Amino acid sequence: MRYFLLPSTHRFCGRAKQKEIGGVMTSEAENFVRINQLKFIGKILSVYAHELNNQLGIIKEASGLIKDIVALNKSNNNRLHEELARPLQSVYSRIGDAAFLTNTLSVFGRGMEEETTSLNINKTVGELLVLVKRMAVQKRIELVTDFQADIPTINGDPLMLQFLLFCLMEEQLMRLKAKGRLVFRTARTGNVLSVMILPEGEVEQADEMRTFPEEMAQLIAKAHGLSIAVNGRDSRIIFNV
Amino acid sequence: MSKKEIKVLLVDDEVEFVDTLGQRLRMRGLMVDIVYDGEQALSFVKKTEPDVIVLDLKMPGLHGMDVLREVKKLKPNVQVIILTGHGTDKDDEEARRLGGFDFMQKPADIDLLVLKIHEAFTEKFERAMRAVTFAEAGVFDTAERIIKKEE
Repeated sequence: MRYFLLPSTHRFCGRAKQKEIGGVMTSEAENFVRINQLKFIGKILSVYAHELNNQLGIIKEASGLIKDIVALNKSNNNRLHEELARPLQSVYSRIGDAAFLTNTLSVFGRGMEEETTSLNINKTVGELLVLVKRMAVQKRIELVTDFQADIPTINGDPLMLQFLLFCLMEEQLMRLKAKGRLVFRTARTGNVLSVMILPEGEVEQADEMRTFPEEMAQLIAKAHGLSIAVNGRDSRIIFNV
Repeated sequence: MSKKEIKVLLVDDEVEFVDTLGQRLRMRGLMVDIVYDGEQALSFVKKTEPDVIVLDLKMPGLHGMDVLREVKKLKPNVQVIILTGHGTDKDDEEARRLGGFDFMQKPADIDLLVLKIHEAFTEKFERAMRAVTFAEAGVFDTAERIIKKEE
């Protein structure tokens, strides 16, 4: 099959049912391009995060070495040690925090390259929360996890799960007033695993999802063997295992 | 047994990173050698036997996972700790399946890395002692399986 690229991908938007090949793209071709665009973004994210991580690694070891040398020479120059110890510790631990973020971004990017893999729900949800924490902080909403410990590994698409969770979370962030909490709970009841996003605080009720059409979320979930339940108070993604 | 007896080989293509890490590990009493790619690591292991290898995964040339596989063929009792900035759960599982001792994200906390090196060394030492016991009793098959971590 031949694919023809148009000069700007923006022109593809809203043309889901084109049938002609030859100068314009079919919906199948558009899907092909979209999927590969996502994989491309994933690879760039992952490689970029890896590069950042390497730089952070060098800075962390160099600052760690300074810390070691200062500590070794404490007896010779105690005042210098006292003055340097706190800022050095701050540099050292902040590099650790930054490296944790870039590691998470790297794993997220690599997730875009694979469609189905064995995944740990708690870990998958946790990784998403690391990446989106800033969105909640800006709205003064606290993200809280309440993970059941013995959740079994399942086969699935981690990126799709994160995407659905992101859509539901964004919706809840929009409805929840400042100083509220958004609790991410995982639970297992018999053969059913569920991920719940439970808002705590003052919540604006709404008849439908505003950030992402619920029907679309339902379709995506169904295609991946999941079901989503959305209502005014909470959002759930259910897995049958 | 003193810390100085632990021979560590660091394998990483990020020269500045691995040189500084080596310096810090030496300050903590470990004997450290450094190589900068997988091929050099295998040549080193053919000539001498480190107790613990701290191995990066994504390097130009030979990938860390291939180095791990070859090291385990050449010297099965050498312990390998993967230290990578580009690892996933799948890599973690694969490294352990190939006989890796541990899997750590880069940059790691130096104290934690030193602890893991000591744990790896202790396990290697205890396994060697068990193998010697069986070998002295003439049970060579079992001794070999212990060294290869098959038992």
